[in-house]
Amino acid sequence: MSLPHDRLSLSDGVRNRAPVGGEGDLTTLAREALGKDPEKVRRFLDGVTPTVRRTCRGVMGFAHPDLEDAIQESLIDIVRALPQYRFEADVSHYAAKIALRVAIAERKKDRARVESMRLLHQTIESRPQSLDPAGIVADVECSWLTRLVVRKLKKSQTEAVLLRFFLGCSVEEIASITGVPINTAKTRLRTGKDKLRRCLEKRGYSPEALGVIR
Amino acid sequence: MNCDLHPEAFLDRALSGTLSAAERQDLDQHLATCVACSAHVAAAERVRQRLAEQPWDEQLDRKAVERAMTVLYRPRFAGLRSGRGLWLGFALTGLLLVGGVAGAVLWPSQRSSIVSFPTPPGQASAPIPGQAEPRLVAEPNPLPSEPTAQRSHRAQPSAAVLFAQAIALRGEGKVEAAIAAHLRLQRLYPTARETRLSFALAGRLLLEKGSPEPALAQFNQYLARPGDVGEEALVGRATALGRLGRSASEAAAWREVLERHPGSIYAAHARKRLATLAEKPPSATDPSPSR
Repeated sequence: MSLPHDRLSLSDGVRNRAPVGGEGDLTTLAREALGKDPEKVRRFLDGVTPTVRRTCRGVMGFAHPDLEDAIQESLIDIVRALPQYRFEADVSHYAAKIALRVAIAERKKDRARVESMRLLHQTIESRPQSLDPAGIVADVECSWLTRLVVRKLKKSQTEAVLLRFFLGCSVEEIASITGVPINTAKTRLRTGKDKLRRCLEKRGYSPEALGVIR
Repeated sequence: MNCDLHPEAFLDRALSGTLSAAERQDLDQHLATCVACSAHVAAAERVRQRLAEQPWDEQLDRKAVERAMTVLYRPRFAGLRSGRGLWLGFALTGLLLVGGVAGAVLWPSQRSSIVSFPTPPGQASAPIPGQAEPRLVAEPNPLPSEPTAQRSHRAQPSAAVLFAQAIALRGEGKVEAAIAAHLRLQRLYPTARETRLSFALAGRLLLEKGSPEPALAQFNQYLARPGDVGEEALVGRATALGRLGRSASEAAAWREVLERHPGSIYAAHARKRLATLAEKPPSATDPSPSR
């Protein structure tokens, strides 16, 4: 079994990173943005957008037609919910939690075939030169699994499984992002995987069919 | 290892490359029986491509921030705050209401006049130039039918629809139907962009189904076209050649994978296969190490 050695972390390159042209970490920027000064809000958004983009893209695919809207909607929700944020968890995790919920809601709106069709049109027609065909194949292949998770699992299980599978989060990161104790995150992930296992088996999938080609 | 539990810690260590040999053996045993953890590993292998930074990301981020700022700092009901704006709002609403009522009263009488106009017998109802035909009048008999080929072309699904159908069928576990959809796409739209991807996907499905020969043909079709050479297709071709017992061609194919994609997730597997093939004598059934 060959496995990728570069484990992806949602907050890689984002946590405590100062945005271009500014100083201070995301927590400081978030505190400053509470004052609703447009310039400070913009600097906070500049810092938090890569996390939001990665989260939305992880759940929706990199060429989903509503990706831009989901990122924008997440950013607006993040700023509007900022007064309720208690600065207990990592700011990038707080942003990821909101973006995850927006992206899941977008995926729920999709209809399987319509979505695949739009996805392909968008990918193939608008960005033919810059996208590796293997990337498109990988994206389309991930898409059916994301859809199955969103449609068949409970909300809490969906969040845990998507964060684990498509954003490379550890159990600790899932706990921090979803704001629950580690044991609860573990249980959600386990029950989510159990249910996913039953769904996949019911559809005739085997481990050989899902693994790398051997 | 308890097979009812999913070994998250082992999976984490496997993904970061720090798993010991004994742990790997345990994990492989679990993966052989647990389709959910296999899906996890399969997703992890593809997530790198899905989350990779794209050239347009910076522009996407900037645009999203600008749009969010516009919404966040847009004055609410700016025009209606002043007394003049408020009156304008009332006037517009009133006009809409009057228009709606007038339309509801006048529409039935106009409709009845259209329906009651008889067309003289034997005379075609010629439309007045520049005026749309009233839709409520009974439709005349259809014109002599257009050529069948033209009609059937119109009813055919587009390449994108066929491709999406194939993907959806694969998602539902209907492998044979998915392969049939891919083949139909390739037959109907040989030059479409979707068709190129279709060759790689159909190749994989045929490999899964245990048909290496047609799978090899599909991968070769994909690789024969100009453009980026997909890692998955190269690996698929090498695997198909291996299953056909064409050792020399398989070795050449694995070498091509390593040459073109040295950082590939399949690199370790490619090296392992090359080492195994080096130990074996060349196969007599493999005429030349070619496609």
